Amino acid sequence: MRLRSFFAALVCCSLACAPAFAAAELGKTAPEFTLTDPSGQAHSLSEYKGRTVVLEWTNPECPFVRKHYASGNMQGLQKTYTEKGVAWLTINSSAPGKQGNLPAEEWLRWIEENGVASTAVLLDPEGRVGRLYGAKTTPHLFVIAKDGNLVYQGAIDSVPGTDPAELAEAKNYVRAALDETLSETPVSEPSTRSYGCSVKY
Amino acid sequence: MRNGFRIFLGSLWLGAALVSQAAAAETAPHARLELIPERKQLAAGEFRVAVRFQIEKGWHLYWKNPGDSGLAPSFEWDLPRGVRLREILWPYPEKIEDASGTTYGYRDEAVLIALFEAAPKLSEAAITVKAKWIACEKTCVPEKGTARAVLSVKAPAAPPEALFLEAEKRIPYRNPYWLLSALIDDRTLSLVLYSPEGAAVPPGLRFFPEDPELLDPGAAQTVTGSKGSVELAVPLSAAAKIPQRLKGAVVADAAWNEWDARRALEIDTPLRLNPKKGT
Repeated sequence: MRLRSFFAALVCCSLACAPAFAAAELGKTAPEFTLTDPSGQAHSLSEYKGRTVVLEWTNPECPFVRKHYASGNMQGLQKTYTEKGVAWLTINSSAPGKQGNLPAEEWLRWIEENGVASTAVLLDPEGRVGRLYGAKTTPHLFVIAKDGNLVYQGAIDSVPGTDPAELAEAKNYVRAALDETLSETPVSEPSTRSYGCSVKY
Repeated sequence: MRNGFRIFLGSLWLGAALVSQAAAAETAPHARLELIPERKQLAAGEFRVAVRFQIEKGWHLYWKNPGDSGLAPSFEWDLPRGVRLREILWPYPEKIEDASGTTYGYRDEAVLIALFEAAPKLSEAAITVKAKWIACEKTCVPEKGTARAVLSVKAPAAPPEALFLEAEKRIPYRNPYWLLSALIDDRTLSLVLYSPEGAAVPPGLRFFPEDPELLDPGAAQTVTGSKGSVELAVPLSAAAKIPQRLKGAVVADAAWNEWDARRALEIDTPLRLNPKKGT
């Protein structure tokens, strides 16, 4: 899987960008990227150097994602942790013509109507950053520690499904990973199996 | 005024959302659920009921381990007193690949077999199942359905439903002639099958693990050896937590024995660690 996403990244890289870079790997430096938000402003991972960063893959039309937004669960996490200084980047890698590839104004409306509290919502229609990180589902979450190392990859929580009633019994892995990394302790569960819709590359 | 307009727009939007939700509930789901008893005549002891999904062309449902994305169907049974659900047997899946990864699922049709046990002297058994599932094509839709079957002692004796003959062929089975051993060595799973009396190994072997975290569904599976024994080796996934037992199915492109057309072996065997290297 790691190899595959590496090659995918290589292929994309030779087409789209100059510097060579390696795919994301747990325990190693999270690879740099630059993406634009729906207003056209560019954001780079390196802007958040020294801060804990969350990467959240999303697709507003995916029922697994809707569970976490309709219930306010995702926005709650975004709010809690951005208030603690975490940079929360919500990324969409839907290719043009595929589900979840929305025009800019619909992104802005989605952000406003749902009270999305991320630091930025970033668009990756070429799927370059999604493949670089090996994002497989929406949602799929990654946590990067202050030192720039990738310390968590996987599911948002322990109960796969689309029913908000499942949230009550779920263990939130992202919350656990963030609490640990913010208190400078190693993440006890660094990798879980993400669940959701496939990323619409 | 501006605010008022906004609230008005908001309620329009909400109204539209409610209407579209109601419409969604009325449109036919992408899979149709049915319960089909093997025999309508009820007798004490074990009986079988097929849980059949007929899936719209182009769409798919998922196996109990869905793979890189998706979700397995879930069931909530409403059973009368005296009837107990023993087990649900899932047909082996096929690999379904897209740009985002590999999943395990079913196209066209999936027939699961539910095994029940009836207490003696029961005159009727009405069984209801409420199922929830995710159907996916290019997009995914959560759906649900309810199905019912009634078995009765008064029902006339009849031959079993023909559907079961076909369905059984896809259910992984315990084959006592093929011996198994499963080992983890250097973060690689090695599953060895020893054939009875050197019989030829059927071609096209692939392993489907029940544990969703053990292997990457897209990882290459290496098969070596062909007569007498065969080894299937797959690297563990980064997230793998090594279980006590290896469970799943090994599926071949042909039958395992001349006298049995079934292609999938049930795997349920202790998983050992290579003591020298550890993991």
